[in-house]
Amino acid sequence: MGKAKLCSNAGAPRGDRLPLVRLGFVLGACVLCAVGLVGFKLFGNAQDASATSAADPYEGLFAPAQPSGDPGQVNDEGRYGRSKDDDSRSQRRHHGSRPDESSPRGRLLAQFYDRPFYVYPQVGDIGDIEVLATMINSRQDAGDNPRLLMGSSELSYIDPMASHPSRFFGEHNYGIDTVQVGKAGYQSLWQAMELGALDQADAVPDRKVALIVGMQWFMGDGCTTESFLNSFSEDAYRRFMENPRISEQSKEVLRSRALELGKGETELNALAPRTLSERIDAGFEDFVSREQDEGAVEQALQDNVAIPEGRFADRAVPDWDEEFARARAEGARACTTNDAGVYDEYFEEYYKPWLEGAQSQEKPERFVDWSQKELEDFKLFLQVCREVGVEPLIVIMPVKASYYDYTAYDRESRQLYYDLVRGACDELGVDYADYSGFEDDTYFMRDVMHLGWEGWLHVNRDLMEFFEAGEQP
Amino acid sequence: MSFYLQPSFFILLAVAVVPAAVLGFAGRRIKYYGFVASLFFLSMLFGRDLQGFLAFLFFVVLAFGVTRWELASWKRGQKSMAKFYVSLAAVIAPLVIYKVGAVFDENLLGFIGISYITFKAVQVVLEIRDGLIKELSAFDYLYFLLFFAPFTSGPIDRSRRFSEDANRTYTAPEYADLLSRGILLLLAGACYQMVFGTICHHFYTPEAFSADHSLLYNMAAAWKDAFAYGFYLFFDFAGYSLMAMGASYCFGIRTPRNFRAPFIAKDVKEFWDRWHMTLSFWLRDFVFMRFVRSATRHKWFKSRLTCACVGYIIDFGLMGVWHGITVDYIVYGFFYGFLLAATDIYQKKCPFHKKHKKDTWYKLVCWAVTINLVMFAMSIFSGQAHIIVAGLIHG
Repeated sequence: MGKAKLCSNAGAPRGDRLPLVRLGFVLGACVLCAVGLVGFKLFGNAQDASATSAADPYEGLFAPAQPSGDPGQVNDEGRYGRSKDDDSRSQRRHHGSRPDESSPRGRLLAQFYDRPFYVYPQVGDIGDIEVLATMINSRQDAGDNPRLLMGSSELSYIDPMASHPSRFFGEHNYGIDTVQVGKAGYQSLWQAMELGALDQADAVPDRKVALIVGMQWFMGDGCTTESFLNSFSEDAYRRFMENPRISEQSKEVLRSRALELGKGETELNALAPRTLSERIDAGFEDFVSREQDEGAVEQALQDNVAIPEGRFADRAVPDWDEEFARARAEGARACTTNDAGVYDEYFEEYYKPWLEGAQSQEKPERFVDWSQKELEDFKLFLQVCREVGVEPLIVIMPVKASYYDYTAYDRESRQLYYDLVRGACDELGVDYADYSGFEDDTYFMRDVMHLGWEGWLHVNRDLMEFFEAGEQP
Repeated sequence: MSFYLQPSFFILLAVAVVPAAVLGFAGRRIKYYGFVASLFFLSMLFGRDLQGFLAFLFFVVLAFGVTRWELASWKRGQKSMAKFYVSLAAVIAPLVIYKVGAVFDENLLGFIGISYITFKAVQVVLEIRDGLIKELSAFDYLYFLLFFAPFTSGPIDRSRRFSEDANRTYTAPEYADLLSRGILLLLAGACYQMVFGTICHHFYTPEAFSADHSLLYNMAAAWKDAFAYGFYLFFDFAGYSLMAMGASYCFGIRTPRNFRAPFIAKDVKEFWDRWHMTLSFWLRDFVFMRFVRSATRHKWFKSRLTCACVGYIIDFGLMGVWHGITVDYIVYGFFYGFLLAATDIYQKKCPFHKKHKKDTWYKLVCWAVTINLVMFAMSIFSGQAHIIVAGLIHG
C-alpha cells in the first residue's frame, strides 16, 4: 500500500516531489560523511600499523625471537585477548604461550616474552596486564618459578641490601623468584584490582600470592582520590570485571569505590559494559582509540633490566646464619650516623630534623581511627583471593618504634592497627606472617617504614616456606 | 546511557529511525512503534539505575491513576474539585519531595527526567479541569509522558498538540520533509552542543576577584566569564533542544522549538519569549495566567499592573526554586521576577519609552542593556557570582 502511494506521487506536481529530493540529498550527505570518517579512521590505522612495522621502535632492544614450545597453542586474541580454557585452570602449564607475531600487538608481546623484565620497572608502572602476564608466562615456560610478591614502596631497592628479594632470589637459585607488583602509594584497592586482573590473564603462578601490608595505608581515610587516579589501570579494571570467578558483589564493591574515588560512571561503564548501550559505547571507544596506548609500555621497555645470571645457577639452599650476619654487617655499614638502624641519607634528611622537632614538642593525641575504608579494601583483596582460588600470605610489616613512639601512632595506637589487620585475616581464614613484634629490632627496618636488611631476610624465609610448601624439594 | 551525549544513543537512534521512516513513508501511524521504541530507549536510559527506574515507574502509575480518575469524574459531569486537587497534588508531590530531599542530600523519588514528565502530567490535570481535554485515551496519555525524544530535558510539549501529531498520518512528501528536517536538526544540534558549546565553555574560567589586579581588570574578567557561560549554556541547551526536536520529527512528532535567537532580545520579557520558550510558556499559561485570573476574580489588587508584577515575581521565583532549592537558583529566579516586573512598570508608565521605542538608537541601547542584564543573571545561575561574592566577603 505504501508503495502504491509512493508511486502515485510520480504523477504529482514537481513541488510535491521536492521534499523527497531534499531528503535524498540529506541522507546522501550523511552517508558520505559517515563513510568518509570510517574510511579515514581505517586508512589512518593502516598507515600507523605500516609505520610501526617499517620502523619498529623495539628493534634491536632484544635478541632475535627464539620460539619455544608448541606454536599450536598460541594465545593471541587481539588487544584484550584472554585464554578461553578456563576450566583447566588448576593444572596450568604455560609451555608454548609465546604470543603470535602476526599482528603488531603480537610482535610487541613477543618481545616481552623473549626478554622478560627483572625488577625494574616496578610492575605498578605497567598498566597493561597482558604485557605483565606475557613476561610471567615466559619465565614460567623457562622454568624460572616466578611468584607474585605484592606491596608498595618497600619494594623499591636501596644499596647495599643483599637481602632485598630482587637480589636475594634473583642472584641465586633458591627454587623460586619474585615478581614484585606494586609501588609507592598503591594500596589495598589497587592490589585487589591487580590480583583479579592478573588472575583473569592467567598470570598467578602456583595460585599463590604474598602481600606486604603497610600501616600508612590505614592512616587518614585510606586510599586518596589522587593516588587512586594515578595508579588506576583501565586494563586492570576491565579484566577484573571480566573475571568470571569474581563475584558480582566484589565487582560492585570495586565499582562503587572507583566511583567514590573520582572515576566517571560513563568511563567505568565503557570499561565493563553490561547493557546494550554500554557495549556499543565500548565498541565505539575501541574503534576510535585503538592502538594508541602503548606509551607506558614503550617506557617500560626502556627501563628494562635483564634477569641476573644467578637465576640460572644450580639450585642452592641459603645459609641463613651467614645471611643474617651479612645483613647485620650491611646494616651497620649503612647506618653510621645513628643507633636507630636508619640508613644515613634518610637519617640526615628526614629522621634527625624530625626527631629534634618532635622531642621539643608535646606528644600529639593518640590516633585510633584507623581507616575503615582501607580495611574494607583490604578485605576485598582477601575476598578476591578466595573467589579466584588464590592462596594469599599477608605479611604484616612493622614500623620503626623509636620513631613512631613520638607520634600520634604510639604503641597502643599501633596495636589497634595490627589487631585490625590480624582480625581481617582471621575473619577470612587467611594466613599471615606477623612481624609486629620486630618494631624495636635495629636492622629490621631500613628507615621508619620500609623493610630493611634483616627484615627482608625474615620475610624471604617466610616466602620460601609459603611458596615452596607442597612442592617437591 | 545519556540521551544525546553518547555514541550509543546516536547509533541506536539511527537504527530506530529506520522502521519509523518505513511507517512514515507508508502513510501509517508511527505511534505504536514509537511507543515501543520509547520503552526501549527508556530502558537504556535507566540502565543500571534500578532505584531511578522504580521511582519512574511509581510516578507513571501514580500520574496515570489520578489522571484517569479525574478524567472519569469530568466525563461523568461530576467535575469533583476535590478529585482535581488530589490529582494535582499527587502529580506534583514526587517532584517537590525530590527537590526538598536534594537540599538534605537525599535522593527521594528522584529519577532522570522527573521535572519534564511532571510538567506534562500537570498540564493534563489542569486542562482536564478546564474542560479543554475532553477525551484522552490511556495509550495516548502514556505515549505523551513516555515519548523518549524530549524525555530527559524537554522541550515541554502539550498533550493535545502531541496527540494530534501522534494520531495523524503523513503523505510520503510530508514525511520526507519532516525526516529531512529531523536529520538536519539533529546534525545542527550536535554541532551547537559539541562544537560551539565546547568552545564557549573553554573560555569560562570563573574566579574570585584577585588582589593582584585592578578592579577594572577583575570586572572585565568576570564580564568575559559571564558571557562565555551564557553562550555556552545557549549552545549546549539549544543544541540539545534541536536534537530532541530532530529525533521527534523522525517519529512524526513536531516537538515545539525551545529557543529563538534569545540574545537579540530588546528587553527581558522578550528574552523569555525566546529562551527556554516551552518552559516560560508553560509557566505563563499554568502559573502566571492562573494567578492573574484568580487575582482579578477575587480583586486582590487595585491595579492590573500591580497584579501582573506580583505574578511575574511568583512565576519566576517558582522557576528559580524549580531549578533547585539553593541560594543561587532562588536569587536567580527572583532576580528575573523583579526585573520583569520593573520592565513592565517602565514600559507602561514611562513616557520616554513610549516616545522613543521605535527609534533605532533606543532599540540598540535597550538591546545592550538587556544582554548585559541577561548575562549578569547567567553569572548568578552558573555560581560565578557566588564565587565572586564569597571571595569579597572572605577577603
